[in-house]
Amino acid sequence: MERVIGIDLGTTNSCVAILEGDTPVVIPNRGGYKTTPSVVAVTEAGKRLVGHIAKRQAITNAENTVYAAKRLIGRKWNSPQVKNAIMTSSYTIVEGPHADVRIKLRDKTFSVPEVSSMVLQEMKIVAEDYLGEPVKKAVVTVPAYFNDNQRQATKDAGAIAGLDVIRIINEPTAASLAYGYGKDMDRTVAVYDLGGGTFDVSILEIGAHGVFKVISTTGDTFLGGEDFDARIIDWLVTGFQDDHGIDLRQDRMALQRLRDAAEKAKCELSGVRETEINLPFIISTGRNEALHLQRTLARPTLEKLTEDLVERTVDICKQALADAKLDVSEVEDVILVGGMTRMPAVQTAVTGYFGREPNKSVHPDEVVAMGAAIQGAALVQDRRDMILLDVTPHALGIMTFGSNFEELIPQNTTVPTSRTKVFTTSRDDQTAVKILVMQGESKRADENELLGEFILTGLRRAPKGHVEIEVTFEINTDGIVSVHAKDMENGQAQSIQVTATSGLTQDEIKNMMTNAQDYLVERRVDEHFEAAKQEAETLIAEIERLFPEIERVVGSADFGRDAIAKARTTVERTRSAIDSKDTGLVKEQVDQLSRTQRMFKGVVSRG
Amino acid sequence: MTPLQKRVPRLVDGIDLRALPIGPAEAFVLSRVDGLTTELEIAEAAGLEESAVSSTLTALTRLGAVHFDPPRLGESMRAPRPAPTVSLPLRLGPIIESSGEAEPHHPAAALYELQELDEAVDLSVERKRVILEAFHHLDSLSHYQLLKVDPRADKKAIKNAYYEVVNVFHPDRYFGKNLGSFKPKLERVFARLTEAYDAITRAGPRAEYDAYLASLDKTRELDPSHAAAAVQARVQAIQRQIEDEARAAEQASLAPGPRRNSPAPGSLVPGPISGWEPRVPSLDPEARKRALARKLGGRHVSGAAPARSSIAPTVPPPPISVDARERAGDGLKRRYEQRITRAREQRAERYLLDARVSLSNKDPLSAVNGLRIATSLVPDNAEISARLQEAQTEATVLLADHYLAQAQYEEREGRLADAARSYGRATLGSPHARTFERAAYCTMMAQGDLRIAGDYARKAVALVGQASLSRDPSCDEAQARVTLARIYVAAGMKQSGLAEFERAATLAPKDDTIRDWIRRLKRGEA
Repeated sequence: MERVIGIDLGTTNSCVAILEGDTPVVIPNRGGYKTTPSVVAVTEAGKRLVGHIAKRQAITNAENTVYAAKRLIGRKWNSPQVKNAIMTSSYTIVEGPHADVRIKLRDKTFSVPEVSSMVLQEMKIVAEDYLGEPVKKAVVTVPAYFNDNQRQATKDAGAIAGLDVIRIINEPTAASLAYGYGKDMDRTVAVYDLGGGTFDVSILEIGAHGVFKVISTTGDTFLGGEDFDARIIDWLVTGFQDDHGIDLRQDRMALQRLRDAAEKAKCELSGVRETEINLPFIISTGRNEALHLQRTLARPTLEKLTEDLVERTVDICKQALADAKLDVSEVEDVILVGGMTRMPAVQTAVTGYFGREPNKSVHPDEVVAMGAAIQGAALVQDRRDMILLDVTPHALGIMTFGSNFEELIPQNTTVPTSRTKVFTTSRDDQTAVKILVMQGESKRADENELLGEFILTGLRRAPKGHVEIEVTFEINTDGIVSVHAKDMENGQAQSIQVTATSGLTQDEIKNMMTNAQDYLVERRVDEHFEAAKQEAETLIAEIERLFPEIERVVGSADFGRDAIAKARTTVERTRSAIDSKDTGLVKEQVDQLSRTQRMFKGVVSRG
Repeated sequence: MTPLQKRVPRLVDGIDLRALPIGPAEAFVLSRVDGLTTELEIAEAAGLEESAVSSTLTALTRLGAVHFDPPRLGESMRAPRPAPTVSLPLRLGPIIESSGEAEPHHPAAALYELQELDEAVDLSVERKRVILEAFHHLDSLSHYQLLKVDPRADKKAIKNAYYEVVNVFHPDRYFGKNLGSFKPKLERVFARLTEAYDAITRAGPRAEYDAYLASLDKTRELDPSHAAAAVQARVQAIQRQIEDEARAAEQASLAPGPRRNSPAPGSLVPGPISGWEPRVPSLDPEARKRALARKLGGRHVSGAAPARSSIAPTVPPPPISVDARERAGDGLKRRYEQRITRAREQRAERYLLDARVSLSNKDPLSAVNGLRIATSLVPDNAEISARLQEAQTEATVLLADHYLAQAQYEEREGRLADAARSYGRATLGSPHARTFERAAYCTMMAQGDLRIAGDYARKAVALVGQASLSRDPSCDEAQARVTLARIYVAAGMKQSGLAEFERAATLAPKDDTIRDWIRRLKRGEA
């Protein structure tokens, strides 16, 4: 049976899991870590790095290392979030051809889905190495509060990575699946998901027959661990400015070091009361004098710095319960997800608001990927013992006269669903009407996200308000929105499938897929070469270690001298094969080398 | 009135009825006890006061002849219907009585085309059937019926029921399978189930919906198509009873003896009477009807008048003949049929009397039910028909508020055809311009009969025009005239429409929409 992997594509870390029998298993990467940093870099030599290795070289290659691409995915160039990211990122963000966002790494620009696809491809490889077979299908998670463009961009990233993303599911929902799967429970739970970049709260009912029904979901796509880090960075930068009159933000490398240090300090303060931040030679004064940064951060200071952020999460919890029309006392369990929930102040706030200790049975970093794996298996397996009823996180509607937003499908509607409303023309003798499909909660259309548009033509000529147009919105199980508009009098109709846009055209995606494939081939070739090279070098080292011995035993004999000369030639040839990166040649030499090595060993042992 | 009893009395096994110290009244009630009929039904079918039936049965219980316990396994039952221990008064409305039955809705003449089952998709025929069945019933079932829960079910029970049906109808159950046209169907069913679930698991919407259902339930008794089955069942029960009595009387007259020949009711288990139809009385039906009408129509007839003596026998006693056995047989049959006809007329009369009492008591709903039974028993009776009409009208008037509330709910939900019907009914008891205007508007928008819509609209205009009479400020004349004008235009009567718009324009000179209509009509564009 075809296996489906579950991928939690996080802002800072990603994780992959698979269902083995009835148990979701998180797959460790080659380094043995269960999560992989969502970091992508391009080295000076043009080599692509993903994960831990990319993170490790970030300091020395800050301008070509992409962090938190998830914050940019599916966003438009002119959005305030992108403007903000341009200010704070160590890498260069440029405008793409469709008012989308591109990232410049060395001499190439990459779309955001492309960057995310590199992380997904890495996760795919991790799973393939573990399973020993190719993986084609995946369920990928996104923050519940992602809009359709962001979801589509994530799906495109999957496609570029060579994955068939059979379903996009919400992170808090996925967490609840891992929490309640196979436990036959009946309760109302809240999922508090404070991740690296986003915050989500979902209220769910878990009930008989393995039904998981989301009642409400809300969140903030720009509230997460990074904001906590930013507060620490701010504190450090301000202090440094006071002491030395130098703004560390102007130096990208210093900024990168500050970022790492802040994250590290924040994590440490979940365990200890205070921690020392020590960044020697953080910057040069220009008078050939290096300055060091050294400060002690105590937990109460951190809590003071981030108090309002924690407060905001509690407000969002209140909103989620209000949307669910539930009282806080009706919540029977609270699940904490995301690394940030390790922070004691966060746990205290959650306990205080919900009036109960949060559940500690799930691993905050792994639970989302596990849930994705469960959903993946539930969709393709014959034994279907779980069903997920999720909701639309945002209202869907159209723009009406005066740039107002008229909602058709309200927020938190269980999908699949469909709604119909009748609209009229706004001008005399209007023969065409443009239907702008939008998503969001604002009454003002321009504050919402545009998902797509189409034009209904052939309306009969009539004074304004006289032509009635029936508009039907439909969201199917796969989250695809279809919109149908009909002139009620003459039956003239038009409909579209709203394909939310990631900012990429189909052709672009196809190209990127090919590039990703090429990269994969290149990478495989590299791996084979590396393996052969390693083997050859081990053998060479062994042989060279034996040379003096051999010399001593058989160096006086002709055949001995011949053998030694031959061996030396083989070693030379191997070295040049390695230098020319010729995997085939290296492999041939390896055979030769191992024969030599065996012979040498035999001689030494006899002698 | 005594509270409606829904207990089902049963005979105690092995009881010797003849040994009981009872009189004919008790024996009569006892003869109706069949282990299936409820107290209420016995009272209605026998034309007795409920309280009388109830106290008689209580007395019989004390004598050890009758009990009210639920049937034990293996006891013979005429129908597989489980006797509910707590059940509702007779409902003709949408609430399922047969909660214990597997299929509340039978496809009967299936709503879907059989070839829909033939579509080549990855679903078993059984599954396809279940999906089609659900899909085609979406609009006719209440939220409760859809989720297969009792209307009084608590949130938890509703939740569980929802989870169960979701497992059948959520498209994810069939992920990756070729579903063809079944996929949108599943999605539609699921969406409707969820809509029902959301409506009845939230306190506010549930109260609103329950009020709507209750209102529907109340008014539905007036709806002939919904009442038909119940009326027919009642009439069948009466017919059965009449036939039993006629048979018994026949036997009694043939073999007169000390032994009273009453059928043992517990053991007499005739199959459901099939193919029974109202029969035309065999002897001079016209004369009989005239006589009956004379008797029934007279206001002087007291409610307590003994039925048997009120109808003079129109057939002379058969001449005694020694030879023809065949003729004797014929006579027997004739006499039997006469008895039945007479008995039917007597019952009808009884119902008619009751109905008149109900009508004078301002309880037209009860009258409607009784009269429906009466018309079934004695069709073509002018008096009964007239009274039925009267009772129906009065009931509709009485229920106008319900119809109005329903109409508003339906209009809000976008069910314009239903709203048009409800507004139409509401006009009988709420004859205000606003009601007529809405009835007209909804009828037009639902693409209903434009003549009816026109009538409503004209009525609205007339009512709103009589300023002194109008206590209904929410509908202004211009609005009523615009609706009427639109109806004219929709019906192709452009000149009338134009005239009406022009009248509206004088009332509301600033209304752009009206001006646009007029301009357009003058240019011949509409």
